[in-house]
Amino acid sequence: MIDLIGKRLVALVAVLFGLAVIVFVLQAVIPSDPARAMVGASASPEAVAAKAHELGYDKPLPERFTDYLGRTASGDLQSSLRTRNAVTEDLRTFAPATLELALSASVLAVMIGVGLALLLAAGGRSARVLRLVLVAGASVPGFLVALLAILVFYSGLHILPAGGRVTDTLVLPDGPTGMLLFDALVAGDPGVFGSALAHLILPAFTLALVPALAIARTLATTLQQTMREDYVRTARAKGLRERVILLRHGLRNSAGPALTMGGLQFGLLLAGIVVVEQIFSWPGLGLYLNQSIAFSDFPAITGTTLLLGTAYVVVNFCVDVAQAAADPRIRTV
Amino acid sequence: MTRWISAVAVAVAVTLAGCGSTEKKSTSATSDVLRIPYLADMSVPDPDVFYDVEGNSVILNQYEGLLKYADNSTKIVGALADSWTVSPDRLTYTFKLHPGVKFHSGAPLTSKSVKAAFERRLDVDNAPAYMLKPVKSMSTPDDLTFVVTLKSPVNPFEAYMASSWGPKIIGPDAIKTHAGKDFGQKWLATHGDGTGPYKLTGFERGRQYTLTRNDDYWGTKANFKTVLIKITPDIGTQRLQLQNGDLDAVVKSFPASELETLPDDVVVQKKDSNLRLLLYVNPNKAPFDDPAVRAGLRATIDVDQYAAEAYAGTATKSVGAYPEALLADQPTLPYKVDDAAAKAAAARASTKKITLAYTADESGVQRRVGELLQAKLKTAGYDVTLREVQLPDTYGYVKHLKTAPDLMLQTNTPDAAHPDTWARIVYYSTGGLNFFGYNDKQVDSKLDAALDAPEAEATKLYQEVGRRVIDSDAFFFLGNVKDVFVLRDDLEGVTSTPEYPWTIWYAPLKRAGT
Amino acid sequence: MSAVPTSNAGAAATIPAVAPRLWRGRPLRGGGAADRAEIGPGAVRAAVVPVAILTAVALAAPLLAPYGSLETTGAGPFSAPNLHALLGTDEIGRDVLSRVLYGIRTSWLAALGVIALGAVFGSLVGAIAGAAGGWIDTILMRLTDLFLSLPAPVLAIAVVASMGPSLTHTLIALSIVWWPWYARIVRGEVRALAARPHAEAARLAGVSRMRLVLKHLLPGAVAPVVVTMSLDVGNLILTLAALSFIGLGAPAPAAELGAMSARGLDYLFGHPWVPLAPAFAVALLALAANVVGDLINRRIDERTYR
Repeated sequence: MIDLIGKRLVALVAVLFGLAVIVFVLQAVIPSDPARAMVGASASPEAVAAKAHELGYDKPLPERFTDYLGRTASGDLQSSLRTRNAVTEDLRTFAPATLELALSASVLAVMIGVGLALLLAAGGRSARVLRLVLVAGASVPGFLVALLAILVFYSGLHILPAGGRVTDTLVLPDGPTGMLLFDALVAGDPGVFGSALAHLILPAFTLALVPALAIARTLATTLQQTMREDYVRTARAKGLRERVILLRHGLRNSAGPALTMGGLQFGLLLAGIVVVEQIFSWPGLGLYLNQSIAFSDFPAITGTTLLLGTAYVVVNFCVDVAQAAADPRIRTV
Repeated sequence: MTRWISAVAVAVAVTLAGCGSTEKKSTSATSDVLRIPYLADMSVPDPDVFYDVEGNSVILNQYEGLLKYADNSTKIVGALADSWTVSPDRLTYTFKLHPGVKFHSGAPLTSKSVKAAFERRLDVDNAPAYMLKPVKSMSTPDDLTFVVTLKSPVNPFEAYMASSWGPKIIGPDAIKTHAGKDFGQKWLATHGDGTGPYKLTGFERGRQYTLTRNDDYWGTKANFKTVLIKITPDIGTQRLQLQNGDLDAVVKSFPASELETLPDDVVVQKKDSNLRLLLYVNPNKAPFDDPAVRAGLRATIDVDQYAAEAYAGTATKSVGAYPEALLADQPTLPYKVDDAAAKAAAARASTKKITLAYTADESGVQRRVGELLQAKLKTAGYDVTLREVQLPDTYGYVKHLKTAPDLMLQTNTPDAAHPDTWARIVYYSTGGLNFFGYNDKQVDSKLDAALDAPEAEATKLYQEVGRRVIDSDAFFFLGNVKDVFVLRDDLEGVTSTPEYPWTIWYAPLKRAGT
Repeated sequence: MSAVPTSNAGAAATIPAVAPRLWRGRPLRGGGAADRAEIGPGAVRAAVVPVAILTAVALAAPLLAPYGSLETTGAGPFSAPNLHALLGTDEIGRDVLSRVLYGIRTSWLAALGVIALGAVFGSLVGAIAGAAGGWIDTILMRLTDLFLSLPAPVLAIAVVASMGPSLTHTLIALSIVWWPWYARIVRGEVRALAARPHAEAARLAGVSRMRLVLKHLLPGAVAPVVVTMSLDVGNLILTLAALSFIGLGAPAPAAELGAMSARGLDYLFGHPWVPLAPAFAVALLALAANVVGDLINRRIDERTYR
């Protein structure tokens, strides 16, 4: 087990290094003039050159690369050309919102996915109808789902808000994590908690549709296979109720592929996050990335990519380790 | 299983019903709050650094300069200066300041504060600093008199003072108390100290900015106690929130074709602005390095179609090479749709494959003009590739002219309502918005001469520059874009100025019936 | 033992790694058997029909569409659906029905292209890694992880920015991030299969490495790859739509469904047919692909247990 973790950790570092290299190469080949974007259209050519020198854009490529590696390794991601803050500071501002959204969406996806898979394994017409609805929902472009959801639940029914993380007149707790649900609980603020929850529902649900379907599908298949196993037959012969068998034996032993699926889906979540954060005015990394793209703000784009790529790699690492811990059969992989 | 699910569903429904519901905003408490959306964060609320457009309303309602443009006109009137005089040699400007003005921090405004603010702009030396570069010296003979002496006459100097990016008088909280090592830039990135009718009391990037009424304002106090600028990146969401009463006004990028389908409690105002849609032509590479081929483009421009279809009536035909309000007596533009002529000119082109770029914007209007223009060019015989680009990318074209696009659509507004602030940025060989490096020595020398020439002669020089630009066929003027404000019908007192696009004054606003 | 889920298993169901056991026990309560019953060849064929129709439509679009994809009708912009233009006209005055048909063609073929490319390349990588084992396996898998960790939007930005925006470039960017999935699936399957007795026997009999992989190992991995491919079609079209929404998809005025839907979003409230027609087409394609994929999945499942 330790061996496995060790090997995986080494792999993790190697992958992160590769990611840093690729990100640098990509942003270095893009022709643009960020120095001028910073000093403005009316600045003199000297001012532009001075800014370019200050930002290090006039150095030769190999030197920029080594600078970049050194800086990144020590946690210095330069300053955003647009906000003029350190990129790490910007990331710290925007990451919690995305983390909260991603976690909520993941929880929702798991709940819906597992629920649907169990229903499907138990059989019944309602399960099939539900599956069809889920497939339909997961086949429509995300931005449309989002806008239609706002149209129905906000414009039509007036029960959910159209955007933001909380009602705008509320003061946010100066919390430890930046994730409002948690911070509000810690600060004992039910108003912020309730508002944050209400604001989370639509965006999290929109994000969760596609992963939920993928998880449901994978889990349903593995569940059906597991339920045919000898030991399940034995349990049934012993007189255990079907539901108990399903939950106790079936679910636990089928978790593997679904878990892996969940980890992989986390990566697909990113494209969805950029869209959802835009439509729901969610102040997270997706919004930051969008604004950075519009400004050709390369330090910000680079920093955000590194952060998200790292998060993805780490999540999959944890999934791998968790699977190995749960199922001894795969420890030698 | 289903019992569990229904139990959870009930619990969730109860929670929802209890909190976070959104009824229409009709209580008196919320009529005290004005909600305005922005499509993106502004760069920083620091007047000496800020050089975007969306964000002007935060700066202009918080800070004041010595001069400003009067509502709905290009007339320059006093703001913090009650009056001013210009010496006959046009080198010395003497401003008489309004007495009894206090900064948001409480400190009084004196001529020394003005001098400190001007010096800070030069120290920070960022985008808008060029407006003060011609200054030779400044003096403060008494508390309410501020004198500026220029190195040589600069005709647009008053326009600079009135510009939305012109020098704003920033208070001592920024300049002295929190100066730090960077002239207070770090503090001003999230705080403010101005003299205007609103103070910046909150700046949460990505979420919202909070402006609170300045109850000690020297002018007419604002009606709304709080203004919330909400960052709402999607125009569809903005529309829905406006219709539902959760936003009070959408002032930028509302899709023009959707204006007719708004409900009855939302009204539309279309105001003149100095925004202009330009078609830049790259004269440094084939096929448009051939003047005859360039001239053929005149026959492909269908301004009526753009105004009617792409802009759905929110743009008008352009006259001359300058925004109309900046220069009188400009010639009509020689564009006339003529498919045969266009084909003939295109036949001479050394290559038919061209790229037409346009800068991205939320309303999609430049893309639509691009598509319409593409269709016309195709009829003429070109093989056109459309390309959406971001504005910062366009600044790099001047260094890579051979690989830059052949044509580009871009909407510009002058820094101030003076022909120099338009021509210098767009037509001067080193102009910041001269994306394709248009280089005409005569234009450069005329603009330089006009900078300090007497008014009549300067006007003549500007007109000559305009003539040369039109004849060069390196720039085409596709339309004057109106400022379109989409407002809740219970919002009264909406005022704006053409020179400050996408901006309304918050102080005079009030809700009907309050 | 039944199917061993390896830690590198992909999205699809893993087929059992040992000889299938016949099901002799009581069927699951309720619809379990009814659910699974009779996904006979007839049912799969029935489901493949819509897909076949869509493919035919995609290929025949130029013949079916009343107007060219860039052609403006005389009706002017935003005319509502009527007898002359069944789906109305868009913001430039082009016929929406024609553009949707061309869009089906573009999106469908694009999706098939990227996925086929990804599946072939990924399967190759995965097969080599799984069969070779050792340090080749490690390196290839780490490379796979690296490409898996690249967020598609950012890669699309970079590719588009350096090579210029075009549907082809976006598809290249997507191919780069799409193949790793298949590598992982195939590698897992191949490794599991390679441990089985018949593979061992073949090796002992002196079958060459290459033949071993191609003839004995790879075929076993085909099924999960096919299922994943079918489920990916919907995913890819939706990803193209999301990228277009951010501005990175097929540039105007290309008739690509995702781009049309994203660009038309501005007109959702006033002229809904402009974004909804292409979005509905996307949903149709995704739905058809999903349903077929599901059915193939369950049919394979069936076959294994009959």
